[in-house]
Amino acid sequence: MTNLSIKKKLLIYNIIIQTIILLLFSFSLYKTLESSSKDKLESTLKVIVLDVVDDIVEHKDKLTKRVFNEEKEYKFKPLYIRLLKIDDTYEVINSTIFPNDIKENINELKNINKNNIVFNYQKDYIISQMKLFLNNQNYVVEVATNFDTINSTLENILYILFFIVPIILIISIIAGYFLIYKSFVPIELMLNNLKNINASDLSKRLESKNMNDEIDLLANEINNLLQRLQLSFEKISQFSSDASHELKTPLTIIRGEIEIALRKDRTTKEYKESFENCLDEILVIQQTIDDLLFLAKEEYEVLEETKEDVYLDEVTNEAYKEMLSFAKLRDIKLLCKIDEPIQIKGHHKLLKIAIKNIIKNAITFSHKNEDVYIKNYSDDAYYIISIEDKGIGISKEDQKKIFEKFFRTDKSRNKESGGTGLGMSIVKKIVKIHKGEIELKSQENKGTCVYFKFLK
Amino acid sequence: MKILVIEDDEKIVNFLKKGLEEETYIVDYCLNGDEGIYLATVNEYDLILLDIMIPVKDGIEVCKTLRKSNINTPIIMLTAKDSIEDKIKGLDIGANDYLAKPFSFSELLARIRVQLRTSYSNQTILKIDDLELNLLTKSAKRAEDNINLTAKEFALLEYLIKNKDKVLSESVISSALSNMDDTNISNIVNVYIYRLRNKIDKPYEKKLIKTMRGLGFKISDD
Repeated sequence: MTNLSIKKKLLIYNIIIQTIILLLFSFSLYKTLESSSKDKLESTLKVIVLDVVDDIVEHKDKLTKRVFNEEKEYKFKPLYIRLLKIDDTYEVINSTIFPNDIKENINELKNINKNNIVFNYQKDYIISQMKLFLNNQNYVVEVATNFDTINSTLENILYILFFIVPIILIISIIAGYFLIYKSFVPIELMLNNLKNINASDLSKRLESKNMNDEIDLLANEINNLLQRLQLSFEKISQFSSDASHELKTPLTIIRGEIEIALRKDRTTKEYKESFENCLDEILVIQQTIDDLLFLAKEEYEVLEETKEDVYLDEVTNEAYKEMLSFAKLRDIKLLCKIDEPIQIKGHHKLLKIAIKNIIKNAITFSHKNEDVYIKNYSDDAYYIISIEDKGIGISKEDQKKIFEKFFRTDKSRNKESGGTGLGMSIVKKIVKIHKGEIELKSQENKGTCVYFKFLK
Repeated sequence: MKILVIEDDEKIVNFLKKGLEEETYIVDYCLNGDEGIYLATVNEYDLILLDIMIPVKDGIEVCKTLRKSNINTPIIMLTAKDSIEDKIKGLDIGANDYLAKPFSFSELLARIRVQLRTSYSNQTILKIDDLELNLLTKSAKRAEDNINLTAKEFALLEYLIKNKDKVLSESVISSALSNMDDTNISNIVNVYIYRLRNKIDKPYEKKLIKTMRGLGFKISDD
């Protein structure tokens, strides 16, 4: 039962429930009919008994002569009436034709209370009895009839039920089957459609009939899910292709350098050069792997718990000092202006990485002998760190993609920035950890300004 | 043999240039697709090494553009993308071969040789009279004597033999033997021809390199 399809299960449940309902219905119908016809019979007999008793009392001097013609009076057949004297003999005083197989139960007769009508059921008969006291003598009037009429009626009903119930059952099962079958058609269609969609081709979508029924809603939800899956699949494959590209480039250089160095005997100077080139690339690989690992870690909760008080001015100042030598190397003047001490909750180390990444970019993409300004100030809502350069700027189109992993502008590729292409994604993640915002204003060939904003 | 390298990573360009020049090839390079299309259009190259992920126009674009403008220089694609689909795509748009990074330099050389061989003949040894030039070992022999040639001399001799019996002007030779960074003075050609003659013709009776006055030089065995 557990591994049947829902369709089959529904069909089986349907059959079981229909059968139970119909059987209950038939049974209760039969029982009701039976009891109501018995009641009717009893009340009719009651009336006849009382009538007969009245009659007897009226003509008490002619007990034996009285003819019982209630049968005719009530048009009730078959009706058996007799009058018994209650003494040692139990002599029948007067009687219509009375069936022999009605047994007298003497004890019961004795115990009948006066003026009470008692019903006595025997095999095929129902006998109503009443005691009366006449002429200093106890009598019992018995009026009996058999069940024939009731039985034949009930029998007919039974036959009808036996015949009708299976027919109704078959009809309702067939109807149920069609109903279930029909309601499963769209689900089966959906299944077949889904089978054609796999991970390699998530671009396909389920068709919806625009009926706004549950099936359509389900199809829409599945389509939304597919949409999200497709997006994340694309992101993942883009990321892994980028990651492999970023790692393969330095590997290519190392392999090429070494292979060419080994092709013939060279001078110490040449060997040194090759080694230096290889070392540079190994550092790039190491940095890329570190960055990738940092980005892959999703330990926001841990970072949330370990937040401590950080002075933003202190972090900015440290980042500024650490970047001075790099700026000097590129003939850039680094300027830092800090307005006030600012305290937030966060991670000193991570914030410094973020600020240094932005300063490094500002220096890398500035022209020689230009200034880079680092400012620390606050407005009504935010504490702000801004890093401004007068360098090559970023085009409108590239500004949207600047925080994506491995995104590099063509200019920065040409500029030999030496970065891993992950700096901005790391900055974005660090800002997110601190629930801050990062803004970027840039004009091509005019310069770029990056703002870190942290809520007060 | 002149090779154009289109690759945006200067460090890769550096070792390719160094390695290929040591193998007697003449190397030009550029760092983006646009420049690559320009160079391949205005200069004659025997082979192009093309990276796919390059700025401005990517390698796929470059390859399509070149093939559209009927430039059928053999192209070997160099790329970090190494899925089967990428390879098929690269080959379908007109690349002749496809090498995934990081590649073995020796394999790259072998593949370069294959491409260059198919463009004239399937030999790795060029012969003229009793002079033999082994393109694989970059060595020269005449009458069983080994002759030591510098990279430039070898390249010049290879070029002459491949254009056997054709008269080649100084400017044609110099453009075939120099990359864009070389000072393009035709006098340099004379100097190399002179040195080459000293090595391959002088010790022997039969002279192969001939000067066609006012026109240039040719190599022939008649």
